[in-house]
Amino acid sequence: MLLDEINKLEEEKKVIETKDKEISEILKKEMLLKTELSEKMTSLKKKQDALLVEEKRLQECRRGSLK
Amino acid sequence: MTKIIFLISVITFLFLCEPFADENIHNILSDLSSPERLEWNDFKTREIEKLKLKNKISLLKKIHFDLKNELIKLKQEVYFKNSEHDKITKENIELRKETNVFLTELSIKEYEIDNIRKEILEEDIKFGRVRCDKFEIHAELDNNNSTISISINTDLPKSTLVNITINRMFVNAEDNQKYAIDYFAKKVTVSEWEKTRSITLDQKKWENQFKSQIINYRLEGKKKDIDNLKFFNVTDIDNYVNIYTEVSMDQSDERFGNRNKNLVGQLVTTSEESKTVRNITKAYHTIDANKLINTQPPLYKHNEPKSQREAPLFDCYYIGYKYGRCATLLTKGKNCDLESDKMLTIPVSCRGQESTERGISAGVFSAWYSFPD
Repeated sequence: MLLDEINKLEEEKKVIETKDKEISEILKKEMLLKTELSEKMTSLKKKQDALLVEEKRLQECRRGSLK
Repeated sequence: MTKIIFLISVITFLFLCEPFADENIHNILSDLSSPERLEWNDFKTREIEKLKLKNKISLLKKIHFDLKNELIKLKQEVYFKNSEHDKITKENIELRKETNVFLTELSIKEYEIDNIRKEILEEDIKFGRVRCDKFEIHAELDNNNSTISISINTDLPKSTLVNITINRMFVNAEDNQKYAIDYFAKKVTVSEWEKTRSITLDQKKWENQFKSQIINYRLEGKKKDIDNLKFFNVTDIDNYVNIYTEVSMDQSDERFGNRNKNLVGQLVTTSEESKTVRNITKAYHTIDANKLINTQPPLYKHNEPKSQREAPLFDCYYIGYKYGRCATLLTKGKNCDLESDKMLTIPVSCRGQESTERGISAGVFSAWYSFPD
């Protein structure tokens, strides 16, 4: 009886361990993706700042040149 | 005789005792194989077996218990990871959405900026203007300080002529001004220098020039009728080289107009007669240039031949330098000691000379450097 129970538990452990490995891999990938997306967002914000500066500069140029 | 009698009596005794010894051994053997004895042995074996089994069962129970605990922990871990995964997946979806929205907004902004650029360009074409809003110089010395890599990043037309001067300066304590000695001076086009160009900095040549310049300046300094310069007392040599770039006043492209009058843009500096764009970039040297101060040539003496003293007067570079410096100082509203001096006019023999142009550039640079605002 006890031996049967132990065997069952061993089987269950194997299944859960496999599941744990899988979820760990997926989690790792998602974490990487999150980092990538955050970096992309930061660079986009920098680009936005640069574009705003450029827009302001060009508008000043336009005002100056259209006078 | 006595001995023989004793021996015979011992042998007789042993012979008489032998049947009794056999009977004792027989008794002992019959006791071991008795039913009681056998039963006792069986009982003992069974008890040992029982104990062994009990031990085995308790060991199995322990394994079972440990396994159960391990499983609980594993399940908890998987549960935690699952919830973490759900959380991060949700966050990533949000981030993706946000990034996409941002990208769209940026595309719209870029489109708007392009439109403004086009509008400005159309205006510039309509009114025949040349615009300069970007005039960046990238300069980098190599590890040995023997080569400098330079590139120009500008929105000026590719045909634009640019004067490039690479020099290093030293301070004259007598008038507290900086004087430049060139490593390199040339008129180039933007298209030639858009890609990185390597220039060799000849340190020996610079040092030799530095020494001869000191002699020259000292000779000049003695001639008080020429200018107010006295002795050259070098107190400091810059540990960096200057890359001085300036949009040439004499453009071959007609769009620029006479003395760049059609040049417009944020970086354009305007004086009464002309317009230009300038840039000064520094590239730091690792050689301790101040060591050169100890190698100064001897001071000029009054009794040296006149021809030696007058030689620099005919140096077109020097005349150009004085002209460029003085003219720039005057446009900046500063006093120029040489205002009334005849050197403010460039002699016919020096006009159009490359050394005069270089001198003018260095002079302008010197004044601009002394009073940057």
